[in-house]
Amino acid sequence: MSTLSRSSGAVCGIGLGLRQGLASDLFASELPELRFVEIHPENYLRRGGRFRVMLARARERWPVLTHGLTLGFGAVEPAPHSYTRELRDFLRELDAPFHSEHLCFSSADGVMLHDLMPLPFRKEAIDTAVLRIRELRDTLERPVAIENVSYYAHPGQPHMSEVEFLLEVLERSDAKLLLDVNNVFVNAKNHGFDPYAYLDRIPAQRVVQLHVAGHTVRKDGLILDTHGEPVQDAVYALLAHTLRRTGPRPVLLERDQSFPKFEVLAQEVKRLDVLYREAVGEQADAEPQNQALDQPGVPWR
Amino acid sequence: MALIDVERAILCACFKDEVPEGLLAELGDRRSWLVYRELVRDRLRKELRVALPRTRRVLGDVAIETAFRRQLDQTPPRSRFFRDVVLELVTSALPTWRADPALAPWGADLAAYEAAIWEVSDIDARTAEPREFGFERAPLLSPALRLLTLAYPVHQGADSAGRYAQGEHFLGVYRAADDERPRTWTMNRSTHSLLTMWQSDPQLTVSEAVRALSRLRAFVVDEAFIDGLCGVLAEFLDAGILLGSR
Repeated sequence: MSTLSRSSGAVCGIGLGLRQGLASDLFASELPELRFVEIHPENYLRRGGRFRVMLARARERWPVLTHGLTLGFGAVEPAPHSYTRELRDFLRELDAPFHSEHLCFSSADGVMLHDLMPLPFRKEAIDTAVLRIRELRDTLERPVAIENVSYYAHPGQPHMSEVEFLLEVLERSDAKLLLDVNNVFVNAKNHGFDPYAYLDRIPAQRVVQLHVAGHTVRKDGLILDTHGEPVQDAVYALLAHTLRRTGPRPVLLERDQSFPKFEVLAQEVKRLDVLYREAVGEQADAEPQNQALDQPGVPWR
Repeated sequence: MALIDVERAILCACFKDEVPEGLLAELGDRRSWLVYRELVRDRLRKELRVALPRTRRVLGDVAIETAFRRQLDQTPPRSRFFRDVVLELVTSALPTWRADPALAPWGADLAAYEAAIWEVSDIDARTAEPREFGFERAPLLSPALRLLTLAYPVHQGADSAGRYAQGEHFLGVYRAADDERPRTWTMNRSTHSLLTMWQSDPQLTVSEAVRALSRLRAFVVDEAFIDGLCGVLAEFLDAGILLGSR
């Protein structure tokens, strides 16, 4: 167990998603490289039994970061207050330093798609996202981060590039960024842009967390962000590049399906930890401070 | 298109049984929108496969897929909690499955039973602190209790031909207090009626419910009935079906 990441300061280093399919191995493991776990609040709200037990056990060992799945900031329909207030109370209970959701939409007219659907890169979508981010931040009473999503099609003709869209939302909403490096890679390959040029335009001080994951290439060449394969070398390289710009940040290895043996996943965590240490240098062992947060070193307790 | 129209168009592309070609043309890149359609649907299908394995074996993939497509088209998911897609599908499909003579007659009961197990497995069962149980108080039932009346004993094994005999079966599907796992309690009609009354009227005391039941069923509440009731209520308290009094 890492006392460094629990006892004080903000969370930094490598983390894993707390998933039911991984939990028993995770709890049985001794993996000092693992510094935090991330949860989807939707999997715990209004839920008891094994899920609450799993969360309680995880909190005894690691800091917990929260990442929502259903409050896509581009939804024209506002989120129900009953849900966002419930989420606020849950985050309070966890003492979450910030909360992230996706720059996408997942619902319309009260219907849930249970997936991350792309927004048109246009002013109306920016206006909507900025409004929703501010609303959520006000309700949650803590910093809100937006995650860039992978997209396989753009609805209609875009009025700007993806990165311009993201930057304007960030700037106008004053939001934090959960930067998904794999999504940048997937989009760069599918839509033909330079991922390094994209990453170099991201203001490092807004980045509060990073995601990496595996992806799959379909027979027709389309790349899908599946979270079901190992992280590719090209994504490791992008992550290292990003960390050299941002400094220490929490880096989540996303694995949501096709779970390998835990030892395989643990090796991936260790490889990420080595890369992380090389990229951030001496700062890796310093008292961790997530400088993108308004209060560096937000205490956990 | 305004943003709301874009979102409705994507919703339609993912959930409607027939997607107008004009709509796909307006969204652009037809192939990729159909990829999205399959990604969204596959995610939901996987959850149903995990939650309803026996139902799938009994009803078959075709019946499940038909119900799934109809549900997405007509009553698509509304809960933000992904786990609820199972209940949403079963609720939508049960009337059709019950009425379809081509399907195994116990298929709908099996779906209801598996859905109840799925629901109680992880439902939030926290309540106010219960008071000591008393006959003149309203009982506090576990929120992780679902009451079912089935025509086929799908909670038991099928016969050697894979069939179930028709009858009347009163079940309580609940999450056990000791190990947090779902269990099934087989009970008689009177006990099932009492639990149903307490679920629908949380302020009803034990005595009031017993009197109501005796009027409804025209029986006399005698010593034997009270002894039997005390025994079963004590077992419910041990099992965590009954938590105490309000």
